[in-house]
Amino acid sequence: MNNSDKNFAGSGSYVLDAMDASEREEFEAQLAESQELRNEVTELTDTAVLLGLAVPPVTPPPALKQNIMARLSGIPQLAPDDEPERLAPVTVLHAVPAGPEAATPAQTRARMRWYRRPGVIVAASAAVIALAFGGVYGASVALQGSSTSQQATALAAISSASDVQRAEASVSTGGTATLVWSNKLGRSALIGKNLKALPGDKTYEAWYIDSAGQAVGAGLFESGGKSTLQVLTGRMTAGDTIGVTVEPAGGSKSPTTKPIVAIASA
Amino acid sequence: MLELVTTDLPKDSDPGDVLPASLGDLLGRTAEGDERAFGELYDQFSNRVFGLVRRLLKDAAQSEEVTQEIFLEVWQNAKRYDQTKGSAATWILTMSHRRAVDRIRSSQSTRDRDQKIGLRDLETEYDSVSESVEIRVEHERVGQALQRLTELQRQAVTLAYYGGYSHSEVAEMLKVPIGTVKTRLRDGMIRLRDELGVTS
Repeated sequence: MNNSDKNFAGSGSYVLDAMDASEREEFEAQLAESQELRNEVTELTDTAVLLGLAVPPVTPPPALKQNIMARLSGIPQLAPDDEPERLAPVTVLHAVPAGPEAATPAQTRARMRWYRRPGVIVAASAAVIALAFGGVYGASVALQGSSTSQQATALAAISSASDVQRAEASVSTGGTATLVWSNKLGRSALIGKNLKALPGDKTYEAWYIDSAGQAVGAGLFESGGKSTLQVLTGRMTAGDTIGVTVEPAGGSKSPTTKPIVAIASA
Repeated sequence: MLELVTTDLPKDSDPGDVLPASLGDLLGRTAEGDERAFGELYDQFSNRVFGLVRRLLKDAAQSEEVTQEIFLEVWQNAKRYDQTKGSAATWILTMSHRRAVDRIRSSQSTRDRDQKIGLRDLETEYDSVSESVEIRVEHERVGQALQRLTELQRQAVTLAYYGGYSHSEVAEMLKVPIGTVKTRLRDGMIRLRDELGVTS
């Protein structure tokens, strides 16, 4: 056990949420090692809560409660021992560069105090976000791997935008696709359910299609089995139709086949 | 009158003590899928969450979005709350601060926000009038404890907690090394813990 001052030095920053993601990770690794450090962090967390309780309360607008209550039935409650690998698997094959309005990688790790195993926390938090909105949008979605946290965060951002909308359509080759979008953010995500697996030389490609029928590529993806989450690249313009075609591996400049699904966002 | 009420509060009170005792029960029933209990929990505690989130984010629309995320997360994770590890208020408010800070860090509007709030705002932090005696007592108790910190500790702690700034941002703002900020934050929080009689 190493209780050097260096290890303890970050406890104030940690409980005040003043660390960045990598510093947190490093600190949490130290936390897992030292009961003494955990005790200090627990006490300082309680102290930070008192700072929070000293803020004058403000009653939120009544509509907020209605919005929240209306969503509960779509959000499954996680069991205490739920592990991400027990949830329906999803493969996200296309890493999406975060747009300027996208969130930084999810900093959603819960406190060590309640969630002791740092190893599973990163994966679990991405799954938690996706599951919350997956529940809302009728898909059971879980994510694996670190490259997916941006996807999960982007989906969370879209889903919690005040103007979030959704539309579902069936896919001509099987399965369904749900489009979730926010005009305000100009971002959208597709959640595919039971999409047909494609041969290795083919890929799904999403498109923004404007009212004149012009298509702009919105990213490549493959069926991830039961459910597929794809946050679309580029910017969606209000009223665009989102289409998906099957293209040769590597994608195409413009659609070369008939869309297997098209969802209007108007 | 306030002093009388203050003396009624045990010195080593848990954060949960100043809130209706049933918050933990409501969270327990929420964990069983009881939407009504969750609604009551929301009624009791949403003004705390929203107040804190709005203090950090300033923007009303963003604060509503983040408050919604927080309560949906409470619903989703209610079974994972372990009451032996802290009060329901601690659990929810800790999560709330974290989510608000996440939003600040991920938001492009960080720079705009920087222009809206500054050190001078912090001076008035403890002048605002609270509605209820309970809150007022807590408010004053914390305000007094903050006065026991050194000026430098208070500045760092306030910027981090109420301003949502990272320790590197605080370091930049105050033109001191990050290690110095870390030390001020830790020493300040330890001093506050001792002043407020927090024990685990």
